[in-house]
Amino acid sequence: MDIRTHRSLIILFLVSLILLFVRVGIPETRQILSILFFYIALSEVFNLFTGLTLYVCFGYVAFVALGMYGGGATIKYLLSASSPPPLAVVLACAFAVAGILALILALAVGWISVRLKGAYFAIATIGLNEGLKNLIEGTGIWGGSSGLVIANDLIQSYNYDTFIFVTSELADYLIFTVYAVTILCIYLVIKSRLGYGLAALREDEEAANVMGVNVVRYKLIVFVISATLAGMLGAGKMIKDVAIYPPQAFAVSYTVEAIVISMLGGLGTVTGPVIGGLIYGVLKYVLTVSFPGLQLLALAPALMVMCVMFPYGIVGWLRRRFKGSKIESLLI
Amino acid sequence: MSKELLRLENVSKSFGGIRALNNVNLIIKEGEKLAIIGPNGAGKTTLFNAISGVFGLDSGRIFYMGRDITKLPPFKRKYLGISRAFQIPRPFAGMTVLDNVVVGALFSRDIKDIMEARVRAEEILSLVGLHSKKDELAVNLTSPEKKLLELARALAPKPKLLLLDEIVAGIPPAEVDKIMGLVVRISEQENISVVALVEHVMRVLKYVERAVFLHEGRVMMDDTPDKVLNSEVVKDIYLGKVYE
Repeated sequence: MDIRTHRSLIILFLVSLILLFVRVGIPETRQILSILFFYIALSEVFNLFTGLTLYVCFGYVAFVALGMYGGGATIKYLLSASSPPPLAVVLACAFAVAGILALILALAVGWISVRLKGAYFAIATIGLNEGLKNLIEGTGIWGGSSGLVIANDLIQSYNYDTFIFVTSELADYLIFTVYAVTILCIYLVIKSRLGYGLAALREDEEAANVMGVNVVRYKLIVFVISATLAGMLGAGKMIKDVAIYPPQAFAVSYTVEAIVISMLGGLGTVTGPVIGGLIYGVLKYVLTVSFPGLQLLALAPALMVMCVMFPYGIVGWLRRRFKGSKIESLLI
Repeated sequence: MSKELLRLENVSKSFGGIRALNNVNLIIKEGEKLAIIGPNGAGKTTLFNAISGVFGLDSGRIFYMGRDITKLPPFKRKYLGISRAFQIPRPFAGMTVLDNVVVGALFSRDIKDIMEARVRAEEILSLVGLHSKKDELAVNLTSPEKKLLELARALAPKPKLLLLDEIVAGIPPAEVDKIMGLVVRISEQENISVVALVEHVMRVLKYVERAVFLHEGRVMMDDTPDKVLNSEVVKDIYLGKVYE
């Protein structure tokens, strides 16, 4: 394998690693960077489906929440045994269960809904989070409306120091790992036959179909991959938050932020969410500090201006600006 | 006699109360070049949609290389070698010219991987004379260039049956000979059957061996271009009654 052909991915990965080292090395950056990591990871996951197909799924938060619940319930169950298994096994199981649950839900929902086109798909997925939320609250599974808390289980099964390390350090590394896997997935998809098919269907679905692209299957493949990764990201978030309550878990707001970051950076690009996430994070931080309480009011016009200036996202703009140069080839 | 490639049996399709295709029977042989002519609204594009599988039929069956493809979705028909160029070019605007043709090449039975698709795409772009524009975004091409791109995309997958929907409409007369010459040359080289839909009969008929006259969804005549054009029925319906 020639390493130069994958130069762009390697550079992006190294830049991400530098951010991780900053977070580890400079304690003051810890909080903001770990939040930022989560949002960038979520944007990448979202980008894997929405960016590559331009299909908007309003039910995304359901996959993250399902991952949080699935991961949390798995941890609670394993730690309820008289002699709890090693931490690594518990966490691996939590991620596996979270991913599998999200995968099953995505297959069930996607099997039907990806046959719909454009806006109809978005409408079909609207009910997903509300449905799941009502199911959990109504039937009382996973703690129902009083939520699922795993903090005590972790402290009692291991010890307080381990608990602190897992929730404030390890969780971020796990989220970072999901992020790394996601960018690898997007990269591999873009470079494959699947990527060409998706690029075509994003431009003109009917023409793509006539040109030999199995549009339904292709949409389903990326929908399921993306949802599975969203579930695993949920498991990471659960380990970090150690608690989940239905109102917050199913709040659409934070998936909207992921959408904003993707669009700001460049939909359908690998580097977009990273650049978009950094700018969005800094912007939000600065606005929060300078206009406390009014940051959301200030953020909306700021984003509108950026979207008008960069209709194809910042990466899209940079690609046009540096067309044909080395910089363009690095902006995957 | 060359082998039969495509056979339509009693194909009918209605939209609302209008019978767009009315019991159409048609056989296309391997390597044959055929024009389907008829006035606006005769059902020409509907016929192409039926062959490429954009919608289901009300009745009738379609066979391709002896296999019943009536129920196959468009992407499978393309995979088997039925390739189509749209009347109004529908390039993937945000993609480069080269990538447009790569997509055309990639999803077919005869091309295995992206490398092979790229080689084929470059070869076709050189043939149609668009190679110098391969890195341009498709949206930036002129109208005639978009027609050429449409043709290149359709030829790239090494099809067995090429469906050209008004490939020369809106093209300056001097360019028509160039494009049709290209189609004839490539189709003869690669043994492709060509079906061209045309309203401007005169421009294209010298390039084909057979003409089918379609009117109100029905096949009215199926013969050599000369005979079809000189028949009374075609003159009456299509070219207008001659005033004595």
